Formats: sequence, C-alpha cells, structure tokens
Amino acid sequence: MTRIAVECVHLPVSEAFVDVGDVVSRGEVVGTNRALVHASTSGRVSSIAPRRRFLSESSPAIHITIEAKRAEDQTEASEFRLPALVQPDSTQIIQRCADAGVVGMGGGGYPTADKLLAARGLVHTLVINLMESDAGVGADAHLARTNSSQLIRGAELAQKAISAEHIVFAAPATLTSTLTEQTDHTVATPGVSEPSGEERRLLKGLFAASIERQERPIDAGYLVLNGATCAAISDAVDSGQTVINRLVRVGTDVLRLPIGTPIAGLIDASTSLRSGSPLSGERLHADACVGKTTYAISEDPRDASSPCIRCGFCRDVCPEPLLPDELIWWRRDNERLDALSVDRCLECGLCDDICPSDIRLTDLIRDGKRRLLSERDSKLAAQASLARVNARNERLAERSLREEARREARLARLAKKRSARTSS
Amino acid sequence: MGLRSFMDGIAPNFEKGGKLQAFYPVYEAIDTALYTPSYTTGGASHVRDHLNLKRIMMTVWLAAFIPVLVGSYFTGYYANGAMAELGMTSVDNWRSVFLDTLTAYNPASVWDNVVHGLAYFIPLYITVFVAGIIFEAWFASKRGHEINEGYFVTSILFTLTLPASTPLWMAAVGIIFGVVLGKEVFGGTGKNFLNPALTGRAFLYFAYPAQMSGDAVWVAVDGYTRATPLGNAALGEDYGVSWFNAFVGNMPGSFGETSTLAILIAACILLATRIASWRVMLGVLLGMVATAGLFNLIGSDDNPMFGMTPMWHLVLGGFAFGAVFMATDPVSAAMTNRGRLFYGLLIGFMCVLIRVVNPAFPEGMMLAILFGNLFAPLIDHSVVQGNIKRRLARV
Repeated sequence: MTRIAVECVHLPVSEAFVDVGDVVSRGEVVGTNRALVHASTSGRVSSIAPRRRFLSESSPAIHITIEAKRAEDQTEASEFRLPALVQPDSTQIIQRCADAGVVGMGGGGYPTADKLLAARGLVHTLVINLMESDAGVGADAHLARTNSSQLIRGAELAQKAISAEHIVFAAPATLTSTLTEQTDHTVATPGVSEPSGEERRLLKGLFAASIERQERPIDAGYLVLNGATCAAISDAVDSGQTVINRLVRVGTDVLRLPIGTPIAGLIDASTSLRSGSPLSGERLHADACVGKTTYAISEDPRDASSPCIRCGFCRDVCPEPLLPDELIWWRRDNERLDALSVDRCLECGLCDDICPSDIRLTDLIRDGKRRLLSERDSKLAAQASLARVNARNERLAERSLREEARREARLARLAKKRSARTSS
Repeated sequence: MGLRSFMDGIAPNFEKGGKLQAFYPVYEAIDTALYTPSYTTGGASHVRDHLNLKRIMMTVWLAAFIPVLVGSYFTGYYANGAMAELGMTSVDNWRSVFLDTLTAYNPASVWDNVVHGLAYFIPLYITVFVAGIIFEAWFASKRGHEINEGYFVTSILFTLTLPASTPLWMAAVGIIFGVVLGKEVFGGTGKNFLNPALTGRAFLYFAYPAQMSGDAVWVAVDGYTRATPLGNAALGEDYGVSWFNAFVGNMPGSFGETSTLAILIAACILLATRIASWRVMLGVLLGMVATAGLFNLIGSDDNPMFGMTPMWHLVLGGFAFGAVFMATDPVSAAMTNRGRLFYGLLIGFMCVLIRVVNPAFPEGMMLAILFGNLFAPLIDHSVVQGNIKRRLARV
C-alpha cells in the first residue's frame, strides 16, 4: 500500500498532551479524545486550535496540527510502535486496544477497550458487521476482499478478549463467498430490510433477537463490532501499531489514509461533501479532516430541492417508522419533535433516497434532533445544578443551625460556670 | 446507451450558436425527462431509482395523453356526426381554415374525427397552458421559486375536464382561478390543500353554468343539443348509450372523461410506475360500489338514480377520470396509507351520494373529490394519532 504523502494532519482532541513546537514521531500519543489520539505523521506540532469539522457543528473541536517532516524522513524505522503481543490474554488485548486508541470505526467512535471490558463474560456471540448500509460505501468490503486474514484475526482477538463462544460475520451476499473461503466461522446475510447495518436491526435479522431501545445488545448476549475496528485490533496487538490510518472510500476509490488528512486535497470540493453516505452523511466543512470514524467521503449528487408534494414515500420507507415529512415541517418546534419521537431517527437516509423532490430530509431531521437533545441536556443540566444548589443551601442552613445550637450550648455552659463561680 | 449517445450527438445543434438553438428548451426537456437524475446508489444495499418530482409529473402528463387522443376522436366523431345530421359541410368558426383542408368531416373516418377533435383540444390546451403559466411564472418570480413541473399536470387535467365547446377565454379564467386561488395563495406547489385543476373546474361550473352544464355544450357544434347519459339518467330517461359504448367513450361528455377504457390504460401506467396510490383508486372504487349497491337495495319510486348500478356509475361522468387522475394527486390527497383508503372511500361515497340524492348536480365526482381534499388532513391526523396511541399501548 503506497502511503499518501500529507503536508500536515489535524487531530481532534479533548485534551492535548503536547505543546506547540514539540516534535513528535508517527504513532506517538499526542492527546486524548475519549480514546487516546496518536500522531499520524512525524513532525512538529504547529498549532493547537479550534477547527471546524461539520457544517452543522455547534462549536468547533480543538485540533492538534502536526506539520509533517519531509516524505523521505517518514520511514518505517522512525515510527513509534508498541511491542507486539504474543499469545495475549483477555486483559492484555483490552489494555492494548486502549493504548492504541482503537474506537468503533464504523461511525460510533466509542472506545473499543471500554466496549470489550463491558462485554467481557456477558456475550456469547460476537457479530462482525460488514453490512455498510450506507449507500455506496465500500471500505469494509474492500477490507474483506484485500485483507480478510487481518479482519478475521482481529475478530478472533476480540472473541478472546470477551470470551465469546461464537463469531458471526454479517456480510452482504456479495461478500459471503469470499469470506466463507477464508474462515470456518459463520458467515450470514441478515434477512432484514434496510438499514440492515443498524445494530438492532442486524441482530433481529440474524438471530431474530429483538432488543429494546433502552437495552444494550450486550445485555442480550451480543456484541457488534465493525470490520475496520477488527483490523485495528489486529494491528494493535500483532504489530503494535496505533490507530493512525484507516480505509476511507473517497468517491469511487478506497484509500488508506492517515487520520487527520484534510479532505480538501482528496476530492474536488466544488460540490458539497459528506462523511458517510452521499445523501444522508454529515455535511463536511471545507476544513474537515479524516477522523477515526470517517469511513467514506462522498459527494452529494443532488440538485436543489423541490417543494414537498406530500407523496408519503418517506413514510413508507422509514424503518422506525417515523413521519419524516412531519419531522422536517416541525423541525423548529421541540415539543412537536419530541411528540413525533425524533430521537428514534436512525439517520439511515432511506427517506433521502426515496424523496422525489430531493429534499435533504436527514440533514433537517438531524438538526432538529440535535437541537431537541441539546435542549433536553441543558434542561437536565439545569435541573441537576438547581438540585445541587438546593442541597447546598440546605446543608448550609443545617450547619448554621447546628452551629447555633452548639454556640448556645457553649453559652449556657459558660453561664452555668459563671454562676457557679459567683455563688461560691 | 444508444439513445444516450444519440442525444449527446445531437446536443451541439441545440447549444448556443447551433442550428436548432431556438429548440434548446425542447431538447433540454426531453433530455431531462429521460436522463435526470442519472445518479443511483453504488453499493449493495440501497437501491435508488430515478423517480424524482420531474419524472413523476412528466409520467402523469404523458399518461394523460391517452384520454386526450381517445377523447379527441370521440369529440370529433360527435361533431362530425352532428354536422352530417344538420347537413353542414363546414364548421362555422375559424377552425374551418384548417379543418376544410385537412378533413372531409366524415364521421366514419378516424383521421377526420381525431383532427376535428384536436382542433378543439389543442387551442383549448394552449390557452389554458399559457394563461396558467403566466400566473405561475409571476408568482414564481416574486417568490424566487422555480416554475414547478406540477403545472404540466394541472393544465392538462384541467383541460380534459372541460366540454369541447368551452370558450377559450373561459378556460383561461378557470385555470387562472385554479392556479391562483387553488394553489399559489397557499404558498405554491405542495402547500395547496385543494386540487388546483378541480378548483378551477368547480369555479367554472358555478360561475358559468350555461356553458359548463346542460344539454347544449357536449357536442362541439353550435345549436346541436345532446344530453350526457348521466343527464338522461337523472331525468329517468334511457341512458341513450350501451354500457360498452360508454366504457369505450362513445358518448357525449367532457374531453377526457368519457373513455373509461383510455383512463384505465393510463391508470395501469400510473400504478405500474407506483406514481399514483392504488389505495386511493381502490378506495374510490369500493366506496362507489358499496354506496351505489346500497342505493340499489333501498330503491326509490321517484328518483331513477337510485337504480343506477355500480357498473354504470363507473363508466359515466367523471368518475373514472376523477378516481385515476384527480383523487390521486398526492398534494391534496391523504398521505398515510390507511388514510388514503379512507380518503378514497369518502370520495366514492360522496360521488354517488351527490349523483343520486342531489338532482341539481348530475356530476358528483368533482365535488366529491374537493370534499375529500378538505377532509384529507383530518383523516391523516386521526390515522397518525391512532398509530401513536397504539404504539404507546404496546410499549
């Protein structure tokens, strides 16, 4: 695999472990963002500043910018690697996932170490999700075709980490033959309508397991990992490589890109670009970079939207089922959105797909959903802080009462002593 | 991709400086109707078809041409027949300029009939199209919208509901009323709750009853009167036509509404492409059959309409045309699947009720659909509330 030369990378972090001017080498820890973040190129930290990723982002995340050294200095030898693990046990695998910064690379971004730790002992079936329901996404299919041994190895390591009994590869029909040749594990295509890659639907399609929204799949004994995540686990354990690259489908190609590569140079940015599906993925800002969860960068092929003609196709295709047309009509009215259960929206994009008027339903619904959830969060936060203030006031009042009582007791004692002295 | 390369090959002729530059809009319209949007999803899972707003509207528009051709034939057939009866050798209006040279006014000749019919349809359609699009364009430019393809459908459906003898100015007034008060004042395409074509038609019906109803208007020859079978039925007379002739469209009536056969062919196209909702059509049909059957059972001594069977309701008046083209307009219909069925049932019921019980309106379909339009949001609302209630009960 040829390495794409990048001039600089931008890594989003919640906390930076380096300062501007520091020299870092490829693979080294530079910060954290739920999971550890590693330098994806050797070079000098040139800035630590906010940078936009998505058009609909409320506040930009802090990014560490690393200016790359010249390409000829970017040798394998200069790369920092963790020691390879031979015959690792469960704890070692999980610890390694944490050290290497492995996260759910199918879009969730949840730290894999935490996920494995929570699943340990509870899960009987590990499901490797290769369904990629998003339109035209092919990063996992590419992985399964070109590097299935790594994929299978990663899955087996994860199985060992959580001591699951079975591994099931959930793959589209186009991939099943490729995989069955490579592995003795079950390879199955879930018999469920789109979006078949969505965790709960996938499990329903494979095992007829219905998992309530408030339940986690691990409560029912299933853990779902994405294909790219398995490859990252295998890299981390067997070659000590931290998560600094990932497969990204860019247009029609699948490229292995360093995390933090700016998208501007990858694809002609004259049209609007999305992370994930061309129709329903998150709209990327011009400054956006490849992140650990960026599995595809797609161009939106649509022209301007036409008015809604209330054909109701979106209602027919919605898997939840919600009323997408009503959700966009009421998108500024949080109360209505709540009543219409906007939080159930999977953002699968089927409504975008079917809409004859090319209305950007998922974008609009997602914005409404975020606004509602953030309002709900801030309300909860306000309630929590009100409760804290009330509790504190109560505590203070109690304390002052106690002190008052103590003071009075002291005064009474003093008065008693004094009277005893005067009487004697 | 032979067609694609052909279209690409002839494209330079239509571009700026080309020989056929003036016809670029025509080329563009054909090209977009065939090939845009050309994107489909790659990958294994999603399947994106090409059905977009433009293509939906163009399909309905093209499907409407089947009733146009059949309607034109019978319009010409009745006009030529009337002329033969009255001993006229040429029409007494400006159409004679074309018709005298092109036809011999022979009711036995398909060509003569179709051309005579088109001589009424084409001027009517052009007038309607131009009058309406002026107002569409005016509103669109004020609002900064594009002119929507939906107007193609509105204009042709409106024209097809008119009697052939409608004065051109009147047709223009009707479509302008429909477009402006039926659609644009509510915010344009997608925001209207009434079917704009029917709104315009209803306006004409009530504003100019002499030209829109009665016995004198259905055959495009001045001074020749012939009642529609529905009009005859209301008076308790013989329908004046066999069921089969009524089904084929061989009877006096509005342009596109007479031939149930042509309308059913168009319905097949609309259903096969899933553009029109089968639930609405089925609902209208069931509503009509049930209501008409009920009236048949009840019977009446002084109202002959009580005895009209569902088979006759189907082929007379605007029932079939309304069920296939008007009631299925997605904007003004109900949009929940269950709601569509109820909406259709309501229209079928109202149509027969108006036809049978209200002797002033032998044609009930138009009013029944407008009535259904008014209730569609309410139907949807109750369906959605019902769903929410059921879901809450389940959780």
